[in-house]
Amino acid sequence: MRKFTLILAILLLAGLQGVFAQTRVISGTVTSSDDKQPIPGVTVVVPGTTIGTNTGMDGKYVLAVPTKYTSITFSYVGMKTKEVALGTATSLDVVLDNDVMNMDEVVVTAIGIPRETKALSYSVQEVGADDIMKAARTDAVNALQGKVSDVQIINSAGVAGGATYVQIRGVQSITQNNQPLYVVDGVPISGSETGGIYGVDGVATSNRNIDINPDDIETMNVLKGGAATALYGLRAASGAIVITTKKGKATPGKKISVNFNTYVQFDKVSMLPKMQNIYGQGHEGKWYSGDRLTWGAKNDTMSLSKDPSVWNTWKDFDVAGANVSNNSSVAKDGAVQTYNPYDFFQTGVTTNNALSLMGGTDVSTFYFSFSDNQSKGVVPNNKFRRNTFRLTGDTKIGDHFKLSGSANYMISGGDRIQQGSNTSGVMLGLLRTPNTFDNSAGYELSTLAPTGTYERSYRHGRGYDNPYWTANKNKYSDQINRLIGNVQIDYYATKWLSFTYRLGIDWWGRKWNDQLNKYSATAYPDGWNRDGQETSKDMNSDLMMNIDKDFAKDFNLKLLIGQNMTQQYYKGLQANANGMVIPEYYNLNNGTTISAFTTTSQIRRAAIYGDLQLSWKNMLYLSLTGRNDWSTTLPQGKNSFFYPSVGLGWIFTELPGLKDNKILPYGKVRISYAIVAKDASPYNTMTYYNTPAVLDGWTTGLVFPWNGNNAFALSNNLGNNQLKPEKTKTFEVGADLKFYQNRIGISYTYFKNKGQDLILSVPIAASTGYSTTTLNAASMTTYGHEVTLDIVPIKTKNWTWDILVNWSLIKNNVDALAPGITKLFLGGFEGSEIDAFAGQPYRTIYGYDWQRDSHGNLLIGDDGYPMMTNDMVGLGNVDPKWTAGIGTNLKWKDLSLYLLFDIKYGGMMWNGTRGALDYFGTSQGTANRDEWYTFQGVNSRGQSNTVPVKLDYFWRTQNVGSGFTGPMVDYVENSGWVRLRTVTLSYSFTHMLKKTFIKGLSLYFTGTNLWISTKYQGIDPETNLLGASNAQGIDYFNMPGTRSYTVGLNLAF
Amino acid sequence: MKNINIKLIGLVFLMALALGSCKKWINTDLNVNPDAPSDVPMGSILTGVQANMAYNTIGGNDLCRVTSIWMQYFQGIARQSQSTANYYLLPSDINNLWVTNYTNTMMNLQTIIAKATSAGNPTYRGIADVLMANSIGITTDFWGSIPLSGAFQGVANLTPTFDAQEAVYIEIIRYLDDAIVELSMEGAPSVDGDVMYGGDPALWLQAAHSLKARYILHKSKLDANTWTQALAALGGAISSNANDLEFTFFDAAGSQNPLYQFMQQRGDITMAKVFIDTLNLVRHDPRLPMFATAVGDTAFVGNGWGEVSGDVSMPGNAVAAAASVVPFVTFVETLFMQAECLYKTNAPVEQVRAALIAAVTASMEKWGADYTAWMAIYTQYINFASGAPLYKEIMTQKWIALYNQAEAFNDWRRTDNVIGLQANPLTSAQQNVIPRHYPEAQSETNYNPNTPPDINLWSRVWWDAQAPTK
Repeated sequence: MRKFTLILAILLLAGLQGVFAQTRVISGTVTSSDDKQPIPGVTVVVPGTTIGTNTGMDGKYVLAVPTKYTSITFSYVGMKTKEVALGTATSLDVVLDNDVMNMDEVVVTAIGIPRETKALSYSVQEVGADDIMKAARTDAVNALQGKVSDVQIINSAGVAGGATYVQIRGVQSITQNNQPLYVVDGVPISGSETGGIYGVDGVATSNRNIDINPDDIETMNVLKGGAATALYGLRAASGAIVITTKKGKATPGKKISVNFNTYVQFDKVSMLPKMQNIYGQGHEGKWYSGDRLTWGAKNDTMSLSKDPSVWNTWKDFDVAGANVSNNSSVAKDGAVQTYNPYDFFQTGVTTNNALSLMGGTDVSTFYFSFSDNQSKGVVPNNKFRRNTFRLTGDTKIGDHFKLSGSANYMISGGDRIQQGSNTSGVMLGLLRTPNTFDNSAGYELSTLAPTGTYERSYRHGRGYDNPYWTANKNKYSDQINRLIGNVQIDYYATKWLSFTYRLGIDWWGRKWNDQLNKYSATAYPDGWNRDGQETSKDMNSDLMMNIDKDFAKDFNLKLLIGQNMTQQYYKGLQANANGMVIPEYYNLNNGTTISAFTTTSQIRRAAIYGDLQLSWKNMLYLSLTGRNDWSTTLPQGKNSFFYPSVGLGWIFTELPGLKDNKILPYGKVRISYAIVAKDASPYNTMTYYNTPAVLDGWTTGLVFPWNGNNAFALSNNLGNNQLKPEKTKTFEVGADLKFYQNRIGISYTYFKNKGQDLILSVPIAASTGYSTTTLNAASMTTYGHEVTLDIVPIKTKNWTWDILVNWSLIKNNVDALAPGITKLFLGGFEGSEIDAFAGQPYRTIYGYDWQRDSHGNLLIGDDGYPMMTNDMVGLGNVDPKWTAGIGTNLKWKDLSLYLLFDIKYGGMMWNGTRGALDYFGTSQGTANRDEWYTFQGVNSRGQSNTVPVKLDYFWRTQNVGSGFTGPMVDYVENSGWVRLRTVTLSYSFTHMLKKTFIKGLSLYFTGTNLWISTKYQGIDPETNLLGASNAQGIDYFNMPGTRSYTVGLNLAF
Repeated sequence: MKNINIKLIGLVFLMALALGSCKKWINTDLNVNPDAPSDVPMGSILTGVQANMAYNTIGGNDLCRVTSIWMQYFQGIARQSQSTANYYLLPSDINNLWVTNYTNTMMNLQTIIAKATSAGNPTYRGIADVLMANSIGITTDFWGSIPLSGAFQGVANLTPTFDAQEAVYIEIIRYLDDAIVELSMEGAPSVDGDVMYGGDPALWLQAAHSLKARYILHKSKLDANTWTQALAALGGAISSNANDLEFTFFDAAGSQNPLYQFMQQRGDITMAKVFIDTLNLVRHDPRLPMFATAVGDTAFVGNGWGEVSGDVSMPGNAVAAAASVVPFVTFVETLFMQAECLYKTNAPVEQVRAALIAAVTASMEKWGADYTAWMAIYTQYINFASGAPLYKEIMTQKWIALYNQAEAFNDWRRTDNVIGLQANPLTSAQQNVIPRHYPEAQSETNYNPNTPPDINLWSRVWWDAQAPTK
């Protein structure tokens, strides 16, 4: 690093030369050719220098230009850029033309390089600040939902501060991370999810992209394919989300602009599993206090009784009385009541306040923002809070140097709630509770129960926690302090040559505390207190040389050569005190066993890259890139690798015969091919020893040091010192057409990715002595079609109506895994798995089926019941067949209505919740327990089954008639949906306030998920137990999703 | 001036490019995990192996609890335990047992053996050989043919073949014979990390003899000479209850007995009516208060087939206290083997009776039962027994004494149910008879194509052949 400091010093010194040069003052007005009105905010610059300004509110500018420069460029979003030669005159008025076809639209591409959209040989899609603001989501990435094709976004949990899974163009890696790279102003940041990750239990934590204040974002651009990300290299092998933040702007006549955005949001649980309330607690038709099941008597045949003969031992639990038959002599305390479990949920409230100040002069600009986001979840005591501070500034040093930088400080964190397959899981406790037991009638007892606990729950304080107990007694909280900073220095050597150096640091520290009450009905005796601290430091350095030169006639060359160095470092320290001695004293000194451990991860990479773009007559664009990476995670000799890309774009409407035609003024075809390589995760090249995990899969096991003895065991993961980089070859072809003054736009892309030597952690037969190893073994093919249709049916003075449709279809096929391995466990439970299968689409649901004949009919036994298979089979694919987003914006004067429909067609999910509840007898599906039912199928003689049976206690709990005891097949459900993802009604008061100091005022109402249509029989199927992991498609007592209502106000002055 | 600038910056730029390949920055030594050692002392491996065997294999819930349900000590009343009682046991149910046994136990024992051999430490090697023989024995007794000759080779052999049980048994005896030689060596260096015998080679030698007798005895259906051979191996076997090869747990979080943890964290099982009634109603056995908890003050009740009451007797302090031991091989088992061998080799009946009384007495003492009065009556009763009823009594008493030990299941198979256990009549499983085999582990089937197909719960291992050779 010291070397770079030196380089910076040299660069700075070199820049002081131009300060004393002779200048002349140019001034004038910029107007629009359309309405002859002046345009404020036009960027006026001397090319190849830092010299520049902006036009004021009156469209006027004044600029001092050294005499040696001969031209000025004028640019403005939505207008065609104009370069004007300087003569002797000091007054220069300029007229800009409307860029109806967006020919000069610029997007930020890899490494933060701005490029004209028309020059790209791949598809890009962008979401702007207004869309992000009105989506009103705590995690800005959610604003991409339905707006960008080929991007799948899944909120993993309906909790405040939950993680978001983002997948661009399917998956690239089998077992490695498939999350895109997040890049803020050219600097990659850490987007990892921390704490409780990839487990079926615990709490839902955030991933780190939640730390970004959505109001700081100017644009979010999605780089999808290999050609788009080739220059980023391996970290963006799964695509990149390129975030450009808001910057200050020099506005003559105005020092500071203030923007204030505030909203309040109310969340309600949306879909919930349907429950029965006909039968009460107990089994075999009888009531038993504390019974695990709801296979008891019909509630209308039962009465309450507080008679001491039946209500004594468990009266603290059955507070309303024991349940007795209506005919009983002690049935004297009224009818049995039933309770709605969903009364547990509350209305979640989020308030978001964001304030920003920006301003500047011709020399320096700044942007400062502060935001406060506070969420209260639908589950009591679930909270999330985020505060962010951001300061961005730039200053010009002389005519050739620009120094810019930003510092972003964030504090986020919250109180998280236990969920999933977890004896403290809220939904688990809530839904397994019989309808005759009132969880809300107290969760804590004043005297110790005969079962040795102070917890009041339906199983006498054992088994599962009362959800109220969980929400109040088992606390998990975390806090993140994060600082993202970057500095950038640009040197404009000549009109065609510039250098850039950029250094970014992303540092975060997270501390968390996990408390499990001594009296919780948990798998872990006597509870625990666990404390953790994590630190992550990411460093990224880029040094680039840029050439942009017209040569010969009609030729332009753009060349970028760069060098990159990155380091990602993580260190975690965790200490566990297990077995609380003093109840509710949460300290590490309060355990019967206390243990601590550290985890480290360090990766360094270096790269040299080049990007050459050659264009001819603004018609043909050829681009070539190449990148060589060095990585520490691969063995010496295999850790240097090169990969290229090539792309061609042809704007065929520039051909003489087609140019300036009215029907199709713009048409482009593009084609590209790229190779992207990716290294391994760290520490996979050797076999280590670990502290033994003595766990039998049923209990919490032994913890070392054990009785004063420490131990080590050879790791079950076999190291591989032959690893090499994995490669994905991408082919992409597409076309962009714009008809009739850009009133209709169609964009189509076909892509095909072929991944080879994919690195995967593979299970191997335990008889080898190990259970997993890392191999370069898998191959995968992904192809897809994406179509974007952009129509503006109405565009008049008062009315605008536009429609944007995104449609994408992706097929992911696992061609091969590893030798001898046809199936790979991605996540879930044994027997109810999400797997990768060779020859099948990625993410197959795998489990037991019913036995069937060759025609697929159920085989029915002589007793009238179907039978379970002995082996597991594939039962469906998690990923949808296609997805679409349909957004429409109708605008009348200052009132606008935006609707976004989100369609997911197909895709399966395991409804493990319903499977378990059919066992417990609480689900709607068990209400028919006394009715005769005949299974459709054939008996052993090949005849149609006619034996009527009951789907009763014995079938559901003693036999294979539930998801708990039987095959998973009946609980694999279509999770497709059509939903009204967003509806926003907004009104702008800006015109009314024209004469005041207020520059803008708008009021908006946004509804999220107001309407969902799905066949899924449970909570909102946009969910996943395993958070932002590769194993999607699991619903096992997941937290329910929410629908939200937001009112927001945006004020600018 | 400008040209100089460009040249200067160009030079700096090239220097920076050269940095990219700088060896200092890309140092693959950084790819060594600082939180995991790449080599450790043998003693630290041994402790982990012993803990793993006690918690996951020998005393573990996938071996003990399942066989204890089948052997009718326990009744499964909920979830997977209920399925076990109905004779359902899935390849995924026993996967953890298979995997931890091959990796955490046997691969680590192989590592100790390799290290001890190169370090020239026969005691470590002997201990590892004993534990290896025991682990292989458990594996083959539950799965028949198993990977052994091609196993433990990592990537060098990703798909080991399954060796026939006959060959596996030769290996078990070889490991024990090696151990007997190694543990008998004079002046061998001491060992660390042995939390079972404190590194005493003499005690390990006794355990090696007891185990050798056990594994010889397993072949009793196949070979009439078994009894004589086993009797010979018993010379030098475990000589007192104090010398049992057992793993001691402690009442502290993360240190407790596996069955204790299971009862605390899962429940799902109770005492079975068969075992409770045999000890309580038929025999008035003074060990019952240690074996099971009482309902109310004194009543002992077990769940019968299909009964799922939670208000019956639960496993008692002998097996389910936080600090209950997990026995690997014991003095009591040794004495029962002695009694059985004496009977089968036609020793005088008085000698057989005395051996049985000695075995039962040792068991009573092991659990601290107040047995004097009971034993007086029992001795009178035994003194009338001879022939087949005496043999049945030996095996029945062994079934009682080896309460919650998987060895009872081996005895039950090799004696073809001489003690007369009835199968669950209510099950809807494929067969209404007690299972004799574990299904192949799911992961082995998935990742090793050599895994035998068509194995089910009623398959028989080689020594459990259907038609006795007699």
